[in-house]
Amino acid sequence: MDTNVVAYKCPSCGAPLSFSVETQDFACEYCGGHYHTKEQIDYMLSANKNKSFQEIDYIDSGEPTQETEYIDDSEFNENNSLYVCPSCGAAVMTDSQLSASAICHYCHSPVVLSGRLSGEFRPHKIIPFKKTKEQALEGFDLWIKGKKFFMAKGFGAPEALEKIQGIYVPYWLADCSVEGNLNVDVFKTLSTTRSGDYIVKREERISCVRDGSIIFHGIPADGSSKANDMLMESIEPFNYDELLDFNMSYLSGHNAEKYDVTKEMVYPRIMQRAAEGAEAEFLKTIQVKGRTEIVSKNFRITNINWKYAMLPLWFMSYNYKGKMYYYAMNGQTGKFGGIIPYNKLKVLLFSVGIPLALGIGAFILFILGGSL
Amino acid sequence: MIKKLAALLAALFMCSILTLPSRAEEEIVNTYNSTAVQLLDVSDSLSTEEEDEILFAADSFAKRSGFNVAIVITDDIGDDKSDEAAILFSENMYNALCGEGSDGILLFINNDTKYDYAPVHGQCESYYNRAVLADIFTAIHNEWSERDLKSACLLFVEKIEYYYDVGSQENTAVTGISPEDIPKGPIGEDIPGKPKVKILDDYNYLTPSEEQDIISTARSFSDKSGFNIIFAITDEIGSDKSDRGTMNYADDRYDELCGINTDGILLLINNDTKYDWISTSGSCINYYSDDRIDRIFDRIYDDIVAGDYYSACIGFVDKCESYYNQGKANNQIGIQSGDGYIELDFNPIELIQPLIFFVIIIAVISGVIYSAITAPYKLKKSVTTRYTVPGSLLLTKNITQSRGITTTRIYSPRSSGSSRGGSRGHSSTHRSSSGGRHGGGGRRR
Repeated sequence: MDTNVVAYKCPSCGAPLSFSVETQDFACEYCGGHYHTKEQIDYMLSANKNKSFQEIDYIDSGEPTQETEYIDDSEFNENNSLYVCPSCGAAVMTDSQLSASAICHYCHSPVVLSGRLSGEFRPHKIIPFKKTKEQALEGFDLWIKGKKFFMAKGFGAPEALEKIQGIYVPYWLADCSVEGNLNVDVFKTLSTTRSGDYIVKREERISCVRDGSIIFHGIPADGSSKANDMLMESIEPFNYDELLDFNMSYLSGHNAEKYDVTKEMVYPRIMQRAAEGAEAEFLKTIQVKGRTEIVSKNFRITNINWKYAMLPLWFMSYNYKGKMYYYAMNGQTGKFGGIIPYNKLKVLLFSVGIPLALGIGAFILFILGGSL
Repeated sequence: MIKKLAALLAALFMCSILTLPSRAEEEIVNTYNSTAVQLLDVSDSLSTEEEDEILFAADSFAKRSGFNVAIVITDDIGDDKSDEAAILFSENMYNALCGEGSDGILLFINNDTKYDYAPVHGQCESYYNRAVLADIFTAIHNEWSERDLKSACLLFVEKIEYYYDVGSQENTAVTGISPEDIPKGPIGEDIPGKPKVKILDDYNYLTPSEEQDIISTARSFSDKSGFNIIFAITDEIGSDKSDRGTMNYADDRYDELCGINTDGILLLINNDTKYDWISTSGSCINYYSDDRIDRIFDRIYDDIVAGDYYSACIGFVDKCESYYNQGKANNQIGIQSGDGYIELDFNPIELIQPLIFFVIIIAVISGVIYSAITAPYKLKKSVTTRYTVPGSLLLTKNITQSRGITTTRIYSPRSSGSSRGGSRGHSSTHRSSSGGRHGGGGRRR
C-alpha cells in the first residue's frame, strides 16, 4: 500500500502548520499566520499542487522537493507503523497501523498519513475539534467535581493522568428508515380492594396496535475496534450541523485513525438501536396509563444510507491503585463518559444504612405498638 | 378584798368540776378537733400516732360530708357473746359517741367474737346500703389481713368517702346490715409458701362443703402449678356495669388477694350483669390464651347458666389443669423478671413473616438508592430517539381498543401474628387499675 506522508507547511515561513482548535483554522505558531479561507487553504496547498496525496513531500522550505523515504517491505506494509518524518527525517513510529496522522516525536511536526485515508477509507465528513487539551483537562476536573462525595478517595489527582490524546475517531453515521409494528396490552387498574384473605384487583385490558414507519438520521456507530462501544455511546450526541466536508488538513495536529470495523460489521448495532428507537417512538403514541405488556414487536430497516465521518474525541487514561480507567470527552460538545471509581463502603452505608435504620425503627414501633 | 378572793376560789372550783369528766373520758375516748369524729380503742390495738392519723383522715371527710364517723375497737363485748349482742353493743356505742338520731356511721371492730358490724344512721343510710357495706367490709378485712388494723381503718374512711362521692345508692336504705349480709370475706386458708386458693362467695351461692371441695380440688392443681386460683361469685360488681367494668372488677379482686403480676387465674361468675370473666396474671397469661379461655367457658358455660356453680368451679379447675399439662399456648414465652413473668405480647415465631417482609422492603429500597447513587459513576447508554427525524413517524395502523375488565384475586392472608384482640393463639392483655398486667376473656350468658 502506498503510504503518503503529508506535513503541512506555512506558506509564509515554512513552519509546521496544524489545525487550530481555538481559532478553527490553520495557524502558524511561528509567524502567526492564519489560513482559513478556501483560497488561502488552496494556496497553502498549491505548493504541492503538482503533487498528489500519493506523493510524499517536504522539507523545511515547504517546497515540495523530494519524496520521503519510507520503509517498504511486506511486514511494514502489513503493519505500516514506521515512517520518515518529512520535516526532520526522523523515523516516526505510529502506535497503530490504523493511525492516519501522527506527531513526530523529535520535531513535533504534525504529519498526516494521507495514504491511509484514501479510497474507501477517505471519510465523507468531519467535525473539527472544538475543545482543546486544556479544556479537556478542565472539563474532566469539573465533571468529577460533582461526584466527589461518593468518589473513591484520591481519584482524579493530576499526577494520576497517564495519557491524554485528541483523536479523530472513525464513525459510521446511518440514515435509515425503519418499518414495523408494535402490539401492546395496557392494564389500567380500576380498583384494588381486600376481601377476607384475598386482594381483589380489577383491571381494564386495553389493546394498542401500531403499524408504521419512522426515519432516523445519523445513528452513530464507531468504526474502531479499539474504542469501547459503550464509552463511545456515552459521549453522544454530536451536533451534525457542524459536520464539514472532509479535508485532510483538519487532521493536522491531532491523531486520527481509519476504520477497521466496516459498515457491514456495525449494521447489527445500528439495527438494534434503530429498533429500540422505533419502539420507543411507537410507545409514545400510547396515551393510556397503566401496566404495559408488549405482546409482539417487529422492526426492520428498509433503507439505509451511510456516511463515514471523523469525529473528535479526547481520550484520557488514569491510573488509580494499579487499575487503568479510561475516559472520553466529546471533542465538540465537551460531554464526558467513563466509569468513575466510587467508595463502595460509603455507598453501602447510605443505600443500606438509611433504610435499614428507618426499617428497624419502624419494626420496633410495630413491636412496641403490639405490646402496649 | 375578801369578796374578790372568794370569787376567784369559786371560779377555780367551777373550772375543776367542768374539766373532770373530760379528763376521765380522755382515757377511753380520743377525739380530734371535731365531735363528728370519734375513735374508741378499748383494746389498745392502735398507737397514739396511728389513732391521730385515722382521726385526721376521718375528720376531713366528716367536715365535708357533715356525717359523724366513729370507730370502736374492743376485745370484750360483755357476757353475751351472741351476734345480736354485738349489734346492740355497736348501736349503743354509736348513740353514745355520736348522738341518737344523728347522721353518721360507726365501724365496730369486734376482736371478741369476730363479729364486726357497721351501724348506719340518718342520711348515711342512703349512701351506705347493704351492697356498699359488703364491699367496704370485704375491703377492710382484706387490708387488715394483708397489712394492719391502721390501714384497715384508713381504708374504711377512704371507702365511706368514696361512696359518699358516688352519691345516694338506688337501693333502699337500711339501718346497718343483717348478720347474713356481712361479707364472709375470702374463703380459703393461706398456707405459707404455697399459692393462694380462695373463694369469694359473699352471696352464699356455695355451701360450706362445696366450698371445701372446690378448694381441695383447686389446691391440688395449685400446688402442682404454683398458680393462685381464685373463684369469685358475686351479685354486685360495682358502679361500672360495662364489660370493661367487669374486667376491672375481676382484675382488682385478683390483685387484692394475690398481689400484682403474680401467677394466677380468677374465675368470676357475675350474676350482676351476667357477663362472666376469667382473669389471668403472670405466667398464666401465657398458658391461658384467648382461645383456651374460650374453651374453658365452653366447658363451664352450661353449668353457670344452670346455676350449678359448684360444677362450674370444678370444671374450671379441670380444664385449667388440662391446659397447664399441655404447656403454654402457641409456645408463648415470657421474660423472667423478678418474682414473675413479663410476658411477651407476641409469639416470636410469628415475627418471622413481618421480619422477612421488612427485609425485602429494605432490600428493595436499598437497591433503588444504590442504583441512584452509582448511576452517575457508570457509563450511560445513549438514547436513539434523539436521532429521530422530527415528524417522520407515520402510522399506518393506530388501534386502541378495550378488551374488557379482568378481576384478579390474589391470596394474601391477613397476619395471624397480631397480639391485638381477635388473635386466637395469643393472649390479649391489658393493665388493671393497680397497674398489674392481666390477660383474660369473658362470655355473656
